[in-house]
Amino acid sequence: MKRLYCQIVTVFFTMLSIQAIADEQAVDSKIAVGLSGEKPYIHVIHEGRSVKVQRVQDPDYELKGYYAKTARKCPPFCLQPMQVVSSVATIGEVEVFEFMETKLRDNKGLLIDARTSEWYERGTIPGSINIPFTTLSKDGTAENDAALAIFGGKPRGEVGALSLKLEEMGLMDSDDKTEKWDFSNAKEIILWCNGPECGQSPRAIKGLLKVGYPANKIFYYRGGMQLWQLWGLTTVVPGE
Amino acid sequence: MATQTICFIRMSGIRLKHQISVLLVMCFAVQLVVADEDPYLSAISSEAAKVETTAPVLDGDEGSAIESTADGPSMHAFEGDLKARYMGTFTFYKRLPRRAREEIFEEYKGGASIDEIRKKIMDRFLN
Repeated sequence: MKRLYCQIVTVFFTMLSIQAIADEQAVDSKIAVGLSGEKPYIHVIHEGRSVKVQRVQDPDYELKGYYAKTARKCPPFCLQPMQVVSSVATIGEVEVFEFMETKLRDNKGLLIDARTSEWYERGTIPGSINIPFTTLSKDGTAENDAALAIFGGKPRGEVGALSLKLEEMGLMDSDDKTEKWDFSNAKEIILWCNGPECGQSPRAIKGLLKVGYPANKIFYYRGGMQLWQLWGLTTVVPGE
Repeated sequence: MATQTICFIRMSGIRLKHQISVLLVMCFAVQLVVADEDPYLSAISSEAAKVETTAPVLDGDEGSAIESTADGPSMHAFEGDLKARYMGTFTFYKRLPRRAREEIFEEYKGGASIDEIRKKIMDRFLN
């Protein structure tokens, strides 16, 4: 009797699982415009909530509003070069998706909306945290120090002159270390702003390089909000 | 003694002048730095005011889109109102493609009556 009960329960759960898989596949088959390759969508945690990042499925969808504008006054809103500096890699949307699924999910990376808060409040890329370029470009301020700590940098405190000299001579490990900061365990970060015409994230990147943040841990998503929206990708309004 | 005192006063005067000059140059440099950043900050601030709030699409069937504008009724408010007052019409409205919904909302913003809107929704749904 007990065995029969067990079997019934097992069959019931198996059927439920099959149903769940079938439902998932049915949803996936409805996705006509996938993210990339065979990936229909991805889930990203934003402010503690799971957000499905996908593209608009309506083939007639056209971008409207502010991000559909093709021109803004230059200066100050001039087209930015493809690379901020040669040591920092510029990436596109597919790399951002991959980052969201790996580094961001595993808490080994951060997606930084480097725009001022008034931009961030109007909508952001899921999974992003807002650390404005104004904070990142001011070396030595409490806000800058706090941001670097969020990125995984550790203040070194008092470092002896001898240690510094040995590091300088290459006799002690000095990789990813400055006089003030130890960036050995710093996270990989993607910085982005409004798009190719936006200078906010390039300024933030330059600020980070100035304090010694390792260039190989910084990535520049040049497309920013404009290209994110152009591809009809999911955005979120913070706090909603 | 008097010559020495005069000389000392002169020296002090020169040093003071020098210090004031340095201070002035420093102030000017700081001013330049501030002036360099402030116009950019004010430009991005005024530009931000032009941006519509990007509505969230959380686990929905469709991706992101610009949903509301700073002035006038928002698309969200319009949909809420339609849902509350004309549930049947709203059901058909939700089945329309996004573009058609945006067009209907634009007409609503443009001053079309709710009866005209309801008729338009049904026309769009049936045709």
